[in-house]
Amino acid sequence: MISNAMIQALKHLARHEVEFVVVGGIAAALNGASRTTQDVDIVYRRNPDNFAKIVRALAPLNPYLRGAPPGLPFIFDEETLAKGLNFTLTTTLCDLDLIGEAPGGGEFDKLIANAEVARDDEGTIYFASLPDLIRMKRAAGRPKDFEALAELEILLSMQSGNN
Amino acid sequence: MGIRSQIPLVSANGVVFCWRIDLGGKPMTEDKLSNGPAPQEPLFPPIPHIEAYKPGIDRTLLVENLKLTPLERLARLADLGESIKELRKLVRGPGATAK
Repeated sequence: MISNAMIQALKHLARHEVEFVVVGGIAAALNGASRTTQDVDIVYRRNPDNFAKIVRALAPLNPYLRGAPPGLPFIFDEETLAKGLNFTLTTTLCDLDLIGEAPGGGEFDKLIANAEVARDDEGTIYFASLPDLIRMKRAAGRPKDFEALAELEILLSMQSGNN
Repeated sequence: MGIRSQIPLVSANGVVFCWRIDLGGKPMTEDKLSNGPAPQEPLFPPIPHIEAYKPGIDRTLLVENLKLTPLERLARLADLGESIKELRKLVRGPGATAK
């Protein structure tokens, strides 16, 4: 379920000037989809400056590897980010997936070029456009996404005035 | 099939159409003859198993969502999520913790 904590998490990252594009179910909801989701997925820019911002932003939220047994040594720092690519994390606010490269969508630079913008007094959040979301979901090819994909494609046709 | 007459029409942007009309006056087809833009390829070719879900999608919900700003759409779903959490607590009874 989408929760207020997920929105807080996104705004928290934006306040810390982390460069990211929201993808997945939250981006679908921002585009108008009526479906809910369990976690926050973001594609982040992979460079040392952004690694530092992510580490600084997430430190107070106790990031930990989702599904890993408690007590495993896990140091979430710039080096960890540099050596890895995709991270599925739990935080004190919500589950958070940090994605370095999304199948069908590519890296941050590619997604940000077409991204949509959500802005309020607390900051600016960039989220993947409908065509990019559809490309990513089609590339994933998961049967559980078929209905969500149908909804996204209808939204796209509504946007283009073909429905 | 009855006898058809062909009536050329010119639209506001100068595109010439030819409507073939049967004797009952019902338009049969619309053929673009000249000057129009080339037909647009769909951005995503249809996939049958995704198309199969489309009739079941509630478009009225989507229309309502599109009237809101992106953050309002998210807040609306979050409110729904919080309400469901509250309901679950009530169902489980006092003292129960949410999963």
